[in-house]
Amino acid sequence: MQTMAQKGRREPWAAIEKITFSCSPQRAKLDETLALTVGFQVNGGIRRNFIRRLWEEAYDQHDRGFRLGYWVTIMKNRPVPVMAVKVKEDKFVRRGVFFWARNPELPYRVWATIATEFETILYPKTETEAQAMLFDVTRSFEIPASKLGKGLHTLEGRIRAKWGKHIFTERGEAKATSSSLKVRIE
Amino acid sequence: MSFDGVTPRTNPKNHWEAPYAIESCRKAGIGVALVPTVIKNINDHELGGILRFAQRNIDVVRAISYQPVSLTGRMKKQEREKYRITIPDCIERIEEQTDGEVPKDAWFPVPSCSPVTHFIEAFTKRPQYELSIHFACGAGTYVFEDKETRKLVPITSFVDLKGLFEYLDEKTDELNSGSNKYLVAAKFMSKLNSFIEKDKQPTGLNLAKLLVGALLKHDYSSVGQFHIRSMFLGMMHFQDKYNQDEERLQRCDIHYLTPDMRIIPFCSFNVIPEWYRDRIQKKYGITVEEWEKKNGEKLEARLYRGTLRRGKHADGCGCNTSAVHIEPITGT
Repeated sequence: MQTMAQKGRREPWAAIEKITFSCSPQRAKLDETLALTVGFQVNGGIRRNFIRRLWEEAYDQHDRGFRLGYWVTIMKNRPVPVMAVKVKEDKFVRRGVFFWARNPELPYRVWATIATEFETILYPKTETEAQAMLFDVTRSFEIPASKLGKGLHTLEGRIRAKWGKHIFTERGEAKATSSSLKVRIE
Repeated sequence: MSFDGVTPRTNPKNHWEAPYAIESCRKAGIGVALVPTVIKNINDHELGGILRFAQRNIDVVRAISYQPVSLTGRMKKQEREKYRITIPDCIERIEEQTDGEVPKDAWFPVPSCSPVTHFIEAFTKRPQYELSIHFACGAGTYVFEDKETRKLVPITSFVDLKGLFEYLDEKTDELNSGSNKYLVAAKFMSKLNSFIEKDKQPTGLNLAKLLVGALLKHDYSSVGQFHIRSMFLGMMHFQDKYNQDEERLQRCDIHYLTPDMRIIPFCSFNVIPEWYRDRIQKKYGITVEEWEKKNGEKLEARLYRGTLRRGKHADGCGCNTSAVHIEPITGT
């Protein structure tokens, strides 16, 4: 099958890569607010297969959209890993919707729009742009320092992405954890 | 059924006849959709009145489809501004004229219902008719009547629709990925109540039961039950020469199929008549004389001549018999 050729035999459908995790400030007072940012990319076969040729193939087989659910959780680590505490959790969905463009400026019959968690429908100009809109994520959170309490804390971001079966991918899920970050609250 | 207002002035077309037609439908067990054309400064003050009329006949009236006027033909800006009304304008008027019973935030753009279609498609494994039109073309909501207070309660006031649609999308993905449909149906039934605030639900209504029937059984009687208990309020604003938008045309789902097998979006067909409607009618139409010769009867023989409005009125038909002077709305 053409779609399978896009993925190596032992390669998973997706891998969460290029994870960044930052906190500003990393040294704060109890009444301050912390700005946490988690960034990552979903790479692999799922990203490589998100191309116009397969959008068209999917559209022709009545498979008109791709829904990708993301979960980003900020965890406060404890000495025993299972006792880690959830500080903030965010679930959001991004969608690629394939449509019959009929746009004279686009030389293709089927094109994609991307719906993100920001409630704006995006019209990518290129396949690469469409992939970036769907698979490149940066999420920011604000939490009061008081939620962590006084002391030195180790935070990390846990990321999960989940999707269903389509013409260009099997169903699957990918998980990853960011590097940990030390935050001192005084 | 065309129904442009609740007074003879705003609805000269069938003000006298409408109550009889509704009564006949009631006796025959047929549902009715009222279709008012809305024109600013002509009948926009009666949108709430139309809704109240429909509420009084909620056992028969299944829907009201408000259609803000499409001003075909060219006219001066001043005239356009006098008559043109938009979907948001109508929604605002309805909120005002129903004392907030149907508020602005009760309305959703038409394509919002796609998750429901996708879920049914995935569940039944049969393609369904999908309303995937441009969001600016139409809006809609469902209202229910509270049996105790007799107030209209929009579905959004007791259902988390966004959450429900999101959940349906998730389950559609699971079904399309090969999950067992009975397992998904069981999960759906157990989760459905979490989207419905039962204390705010109109008295006498069990929406969860209706939705389970309509979405999972998906037979006509279940869907029919949902529509019997609810009233659909819809709006569709056709375009005109001054706001024709190609993006909307590209996503149109109301078309004309012409004898030469072309499919033409409604707004192209009617708004640019010199390219479509006029040419096609000229090519395939026949004259009145030809029609009469072909059918052996006069075209006007079956024309209704308004005998009801000159005769007696049924009890409680709501006609204001003193308002006999009617000025017809002149088209532009």
